[in-house]
Amino acid sequence: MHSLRILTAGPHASIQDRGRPGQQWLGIPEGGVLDRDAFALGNALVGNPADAAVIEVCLGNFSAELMTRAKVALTGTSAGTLTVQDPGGHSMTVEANRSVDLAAGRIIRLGVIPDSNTATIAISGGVDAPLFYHSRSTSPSAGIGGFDGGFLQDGQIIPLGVVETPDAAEWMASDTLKDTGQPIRCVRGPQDDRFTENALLVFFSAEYTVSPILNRMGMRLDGEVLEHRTNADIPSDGIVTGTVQVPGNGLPIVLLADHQSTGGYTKIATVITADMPRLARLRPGEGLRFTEVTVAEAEAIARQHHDRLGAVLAGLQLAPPIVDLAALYALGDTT
Amino acid sequence: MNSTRTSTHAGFRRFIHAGDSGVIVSFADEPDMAVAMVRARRLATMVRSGDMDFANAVLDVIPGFNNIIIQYDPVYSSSSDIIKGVEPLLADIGADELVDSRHWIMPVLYGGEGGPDLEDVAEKTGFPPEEVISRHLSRQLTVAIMGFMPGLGYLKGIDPALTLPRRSSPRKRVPALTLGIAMDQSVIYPLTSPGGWNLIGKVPVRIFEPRRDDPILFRPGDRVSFRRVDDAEFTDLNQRAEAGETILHPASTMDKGEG
Repeated sequence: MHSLRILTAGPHASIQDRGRPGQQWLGIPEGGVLDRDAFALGNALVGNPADAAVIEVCLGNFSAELMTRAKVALTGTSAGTLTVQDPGGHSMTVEANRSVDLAAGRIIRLGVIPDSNTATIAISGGVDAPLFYHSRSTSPSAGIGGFDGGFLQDGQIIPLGVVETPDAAEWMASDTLKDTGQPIRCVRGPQDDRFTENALLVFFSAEYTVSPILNRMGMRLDGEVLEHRTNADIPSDGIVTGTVQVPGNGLPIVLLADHQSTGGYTKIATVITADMPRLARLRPGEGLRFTEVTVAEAEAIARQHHDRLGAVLAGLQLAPPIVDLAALYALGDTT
Repeated sequence: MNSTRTSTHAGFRRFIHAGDSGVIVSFADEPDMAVAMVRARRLATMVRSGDMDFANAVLDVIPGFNNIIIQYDPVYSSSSDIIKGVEPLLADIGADELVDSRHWIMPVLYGGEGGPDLEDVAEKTGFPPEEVISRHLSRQLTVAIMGFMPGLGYLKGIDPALTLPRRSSPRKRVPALTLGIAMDQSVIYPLTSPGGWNLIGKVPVRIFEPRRDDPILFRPGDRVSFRRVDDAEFTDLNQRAEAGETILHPASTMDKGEG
């Protein structure tokens, strides 16, 4: 049977693909993976079509048993690793950003991801969840997508797509597009005129900290309060992913994939599309700064980023075989 | 560092950037709010119909109360393409209500368990509960925008005498298909969720049903009137809806009137 049995889902693991853009006018969130770079790379490493559904893991602590032969890749992290255990109890470590071809019965485990809030586990064949508005993505806050509109549960068995002609080639990426430490780039507005000059100066210079209140809808930030000229209320309008909304308490919230489609709070700035994957990797407690770019600059950066991702996907190399130390020792015991 | 406002004026409409994936066309400078709202809805319909240059660049058109946001992918297009495509539409946008909106006459069971705030609304507005109901029935509302959750329409235009703020402490659980009022609007909750509106009734029509071919009943610009039903009729309609029957069809689709 082509499926995966979830042993421990961890906090907030879910089925995701590129999401369902084009339905926000009906109140349906765009949804989709928080880290589109990790999504593209993961699917490429396991030989999937670009839109195959993956498992998005939050913070880690995920484990599952493969009920079929499949290639697996962990992306969206550099320091995280998968531990693969065979039915004999031997285990081996698989680095992130490479694929590994595994036989049925292997158990994959991901501990706490040291360097990212979110990571992607891509599996060859893709997760075969039903399509809803052209997407398999789960938006748990709206109760739609995936298998039952919710996060993955311990013990859940999820079907995988069938790979017509499986091969054993394992691939690795040379560049994971992980630029740490740089400020997050934003275009000011749409309601920057509702903030004081000082608020804009503060927003584009102060350090903020990712709050523990972090989910697929939004990332709250702690730090210096941003002052409104009058108040935080506007007639509700549409929202794009990356919008930095500032409610009455003056603390910014960056809206992520599952954000509501319309909202009535002032928005000081909007994170550029190319920096959303980097933002999504930030963990609670981590610091970040914002810097301003123009729309034209942001659009140019989006195209450069797309080209860079394209080059990474086109330049995958065959990965060296994984040295399975446990198996080697086991072999040593018998000779 | 660019410190100029990223907006362009053109008469009463303004283009405002929302990062590198959205262009807002705002009618907020329009002196008459009602005209601004109609123009925003008209423009949303025109852009959505795809009859413009660079139509392929448009990913979504999300109506706000007095603006629309056009979403695009900066890898394959740009905000200047979007603006070039929209500008000719603005030239003769007009201010007549949409001609292709549908009119729904929504059955409601007012008060009782399904409308626990009816008495409270009566007290706060100074009307007897029966008059709250008749005033709520007296107006035809418009789906101004959608949001918060799949299929939730903000129905604008209730009797101003019923204007109340949202409840100071939102309820943790409002059952699906509960009817609420706040400000100059009414909403029907598509799903069971937290909610802060004043709840005055419930409807049997599934306004969001993921298993249906078209899961969502409302579209921005649709008009909604209410029809009072009693317990017996509600129960009948509700059972038929539960069994998958379509219990509500549009009363009209080509009505130009602004009732």
